[in-house]
Amino acid sequence: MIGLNDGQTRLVILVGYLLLLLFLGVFASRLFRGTKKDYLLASHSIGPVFLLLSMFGTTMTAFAIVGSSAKSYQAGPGVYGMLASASGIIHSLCFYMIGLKLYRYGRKYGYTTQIEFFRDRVESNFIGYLMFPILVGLIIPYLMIGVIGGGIVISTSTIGAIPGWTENGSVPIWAGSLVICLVVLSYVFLGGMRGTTWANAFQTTVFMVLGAYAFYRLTGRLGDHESFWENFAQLNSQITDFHVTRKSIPQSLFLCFMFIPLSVAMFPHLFQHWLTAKSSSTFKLPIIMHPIFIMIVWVPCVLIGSWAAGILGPGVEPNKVMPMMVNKFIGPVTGGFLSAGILAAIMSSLDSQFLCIGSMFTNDVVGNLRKEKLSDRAEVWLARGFVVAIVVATYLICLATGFGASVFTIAIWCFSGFSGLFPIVAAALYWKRLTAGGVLAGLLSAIGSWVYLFYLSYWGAVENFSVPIGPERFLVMPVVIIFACTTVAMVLASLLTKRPSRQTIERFFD
Amino acid sequence: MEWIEAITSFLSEANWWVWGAILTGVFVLVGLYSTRLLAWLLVVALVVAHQDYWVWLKGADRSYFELPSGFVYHVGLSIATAVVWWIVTMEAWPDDDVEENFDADFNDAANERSGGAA
Repeated sequence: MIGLNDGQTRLVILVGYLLLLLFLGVFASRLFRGTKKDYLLASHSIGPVFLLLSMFGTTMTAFAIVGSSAKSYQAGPGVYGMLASASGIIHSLCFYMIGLKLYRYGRKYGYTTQIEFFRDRVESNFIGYLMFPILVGLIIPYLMIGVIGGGIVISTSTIGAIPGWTENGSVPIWAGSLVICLVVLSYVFLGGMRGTTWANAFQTTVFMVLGAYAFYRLTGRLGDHESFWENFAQLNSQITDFHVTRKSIPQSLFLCFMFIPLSVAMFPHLFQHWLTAKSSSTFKLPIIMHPIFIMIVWVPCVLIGSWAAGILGPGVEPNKVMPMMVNKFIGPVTGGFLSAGILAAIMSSLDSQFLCIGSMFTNDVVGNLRKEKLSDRAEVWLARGFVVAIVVATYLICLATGFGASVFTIAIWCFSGFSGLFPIVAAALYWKRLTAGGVLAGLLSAIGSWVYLFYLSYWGAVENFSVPIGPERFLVMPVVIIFACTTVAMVLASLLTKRPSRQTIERFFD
Repeated sequence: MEWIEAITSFLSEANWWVWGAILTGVFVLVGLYSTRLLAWLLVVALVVAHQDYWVWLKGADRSYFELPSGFVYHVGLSIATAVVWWIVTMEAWPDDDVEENFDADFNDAANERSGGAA
């Protein structure tokens, strides 16, 4: 752009994009019907295309863009099989086996959050109070992934934009993260679930289209040929032999990674998205297309990360690989738009997480503690207030860690916690004998084993933490151990405690 | 027994296309018996196929456009996954998938849960 340097051009594009999102939030708020159901569930009005885009946008975080390229830079394209193709299989399985059933119960019995379902299913109020801090505690690291990832993208994209502010003239990470928090907070605050779904759908489209275009441009810039495919083959041929094989990924860990995508079954924000669907048939399109969408996003990211290993050389901070490749090899305008696309991926997860935390607080804590029901208006404001408090808390935690934590490592720990809770939701839907005692034992085992293993990894400082098991010393990821602990504790405690009432069994199984 | 040994020996030395033919035969037979069962069998097959130990450390094997063969395999698996889920939604969608008037139920249930003040 005329008169602006590269960093400033990218900064202008990013600011423009963020303003567009704010406008979307304001527009969605004009359609707000003033009820809690509309604010939290968009009045169950979302069709298949929007559900696909919003669910996909929600599951694709900074982990998919920044984390995938970072991991691929270190371990090669084998990362795709480890996480992307596995997620395609398991996510759709969870949508079908868990999401669809929960949706039907949610619509039938008037649930807004998954805690309400568990309270009814195991006939225990206490379980709800126990689940709330566990779910919020697991979501906070998930929020951190987005807040840190967003800050890194803005900072790396704006080098030279504001001379004097930082050493390299970029927007500092703390400021970038703050802006991301404020923008997402604004459109969630104003538009609720409708604004969130629209923003998600819009942002998912943006990051997929811009990502594909930028990948095309990047391939052209890095290769020596005229044709895209010749350049593509040339760049792939430069991936080192070490990266081509999966020598750095033990087979037992590859198997363990199949457990990570199970986490989607217990994401509270995804539960809320499921409930926005118009009907159960709305789920068909997301179930079929989700693996393809994952492929569209992950293939370029993983390849760019692998190419970067040869092009940038060793020693680059993995989290910065993707933004560096974009800024170094793509013009400022395309680079600015791609950075906006990456921010879109990040923000499309943050918004749902913000909203679901507010929903859980109003429904599962305040709504449950108060004898007299609050008005819809008061509940909406309460949800908004709690969202602000959580965002502030998350931002302060990021500030305390110096925004230096590895996106990939936080994500794996966060997903491991949610995957550890998978046996509970699966049993609640498919095992009549599950009791409140079983859920209690399962929850305590899951969180106890998670905290213990996290402690053993020096609170995440040991990257790729795994535990050797058996005489062959097979490496096993924490997620498998947590999953096993939850299952064993839940089954034993359920068998040792009183069966659920006939009324409950008839309600959920007949 | 000799015939078991013969079959075991044949299978252990068989090429990928022999295995492919055997698996296809199994899927066809299952499909003729029940398409719903076939759909679920395909999902299980996807999970098994994901653990591709046979292409794990194949030196520096390259496939189309110089892409690592393991990578191409998993991209193909993603496409196969979408096809399998399409089959599942066609053949194994819940029988009770009627478009009920959920909203009436939802409002009643939500009011009941919150003390009827909504």
